[in-house]
Amino acid sequence: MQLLKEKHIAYVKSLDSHTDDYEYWLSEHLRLNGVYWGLTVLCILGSPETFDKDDVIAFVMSCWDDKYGGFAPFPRHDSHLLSTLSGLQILATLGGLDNVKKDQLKLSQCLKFISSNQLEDGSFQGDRFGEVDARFSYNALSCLSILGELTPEVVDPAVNFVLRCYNFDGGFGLSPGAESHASMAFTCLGALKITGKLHLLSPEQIDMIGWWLCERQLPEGGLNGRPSKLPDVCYSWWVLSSLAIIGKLEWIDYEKLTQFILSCQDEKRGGISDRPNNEADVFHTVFGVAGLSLLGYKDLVPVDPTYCMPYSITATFQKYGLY
Amino acid sequence: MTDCYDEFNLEDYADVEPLPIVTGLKDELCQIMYSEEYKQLMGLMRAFLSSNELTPRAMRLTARVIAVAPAFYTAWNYRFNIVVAIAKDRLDQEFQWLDEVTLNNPKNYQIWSYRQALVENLGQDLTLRGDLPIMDMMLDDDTKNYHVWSYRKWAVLHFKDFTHELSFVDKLIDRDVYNNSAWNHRMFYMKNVSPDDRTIDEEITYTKNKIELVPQNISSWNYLRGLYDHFKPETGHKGELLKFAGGFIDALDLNATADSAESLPEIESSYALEFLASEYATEGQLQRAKNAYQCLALKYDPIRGSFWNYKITTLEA
Repeated sequence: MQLLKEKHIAYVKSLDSHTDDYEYWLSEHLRLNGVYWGLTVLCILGSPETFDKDDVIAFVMSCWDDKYGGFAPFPRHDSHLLSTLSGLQILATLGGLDNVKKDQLKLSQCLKFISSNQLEDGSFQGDRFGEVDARFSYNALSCLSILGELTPEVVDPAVNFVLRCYNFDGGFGLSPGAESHASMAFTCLGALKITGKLHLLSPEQIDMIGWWLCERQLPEGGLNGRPSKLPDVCYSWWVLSSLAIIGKLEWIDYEKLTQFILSCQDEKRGGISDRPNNEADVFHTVFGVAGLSLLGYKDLVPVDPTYCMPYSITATFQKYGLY
Repeated sequence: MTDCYDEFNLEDYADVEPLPIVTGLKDELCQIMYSEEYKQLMGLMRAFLSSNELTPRAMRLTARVIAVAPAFYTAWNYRFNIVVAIAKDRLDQEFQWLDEVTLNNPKNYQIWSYRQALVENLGQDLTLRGDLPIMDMMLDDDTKNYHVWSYRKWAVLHFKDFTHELSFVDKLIDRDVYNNSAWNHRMFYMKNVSPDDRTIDEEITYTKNKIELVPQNISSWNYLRGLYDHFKPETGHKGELLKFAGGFIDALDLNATADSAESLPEIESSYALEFLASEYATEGQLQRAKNAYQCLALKYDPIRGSFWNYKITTLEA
């Protein structure tokens, strides 16, 4: 089976015209994330101009939270670290980052929003209501990296916390001691990579982490997120990107995983689902396509495993610790 | 004036002008056609968020909005502010309401961060006991629910009450010995209660029994290795444990080099073989370690062939 590129482009394009769909409106709280996922699919498939650039940038800016700084997932919602990262990723991808970077008020509000959510132990809450999750550490560090504003005051305690999420089995959990989960391997390793701190893991730990990650591949080819769970296309990203970050991508059986991802395509309407014959969505579509890009699938734009954005964009980010 | 916990009734909002979505855009991202009820509710919600009214009817509105769109976290945040302002002496009722929402939305996780915010900020008089019924019920229904386990860990640490955890985890492992979440919680428990040597030895026996029950189980093997690494780092895994692991690969001769999958016998546990291979590697029995890795690559775990081949190269280095 082949990657149905044109179908997937058409699928992502169609998402916007499905606004009469009830489900679509129930997902307001994820809208900015959804736009980022869709845009990234289009970029990897080599068709970024499918979205109207000015419209998308205007929509992102309409999600700005005037009161607390940062981006909400939708106008008038509260800002959150998750949606703030999506907003900055979209702006960076479309060359619109100056809307924040060159606007003194917005930039200082944004930096304040991010740093005000860092807690004493170095962890981050997603917003002022106190939910702590290693994902938010990644979000915060990635945001600051995109803005070129990482500082040791934020980075050092943040890295400390992330390292505490490493588990006895070689995986990473959402907080110290929480069960290892593939998505947390990505957020923790990504956070360490962004801050140039991967060397804080010993070679033995790296091997152990690589083992835990490749252990996620099931005999039929797909990857699961935790032991004894079903395979799911989104883990193609969480696991593969993690392995790529530590330079151990080859520990996965490429051929079998490629076949698994391709078998999850909706051949009629485009899009990729979590497992074969389920309903496609944009979340699984981006992580399926990005996974294929990491696997070197032909004619895809290379994706940066640390940021889940095209290399051509992330190459412009200032590297922390190297200047 | 009607109460915070009364039924939602649209008539209470007759004086409020619903706010439309205004993004200043004409683009398709924001053109809306959705159900009348949803449109009305969200319009009201936007109006209330903007006026920040902290009243019983605002609270009833959040309940209705959350029932329709449980992942709308801004509504949860708003409700939290209302509770703090006008209902913090009615936590019992708030938890009762929250439990009901929880049971209706098992995959949602706003529920748990909301619960945590209530407990942390308003629950000075609470104990873990109050949280146990809903946590137990949710984990009974979905034994690997990541958010419930995470909350449970948080709550146990918050209340510093570990008394219920071991028996709870025992029950879940008895029910499904493959439940990795339960094994992980067991490790979390052990690391936090500072067990003495005897307890650790009993724990090792317990784990070995579970491995004997189902030898091909990565969770129990990881746990066993984790116990040794954390509580007995100086002993290593020697002697008795090598014999234990060897029992699951009886038919395999690790002194012989394997050349094809067909020539290799069936074994009971590839994890036992992995365990032995890494022990042999540590002990300097390199040929045996190499043979073990080769067998994994050839027959017992071929999908990770390149990983096992990498392990062989580390022996040769």
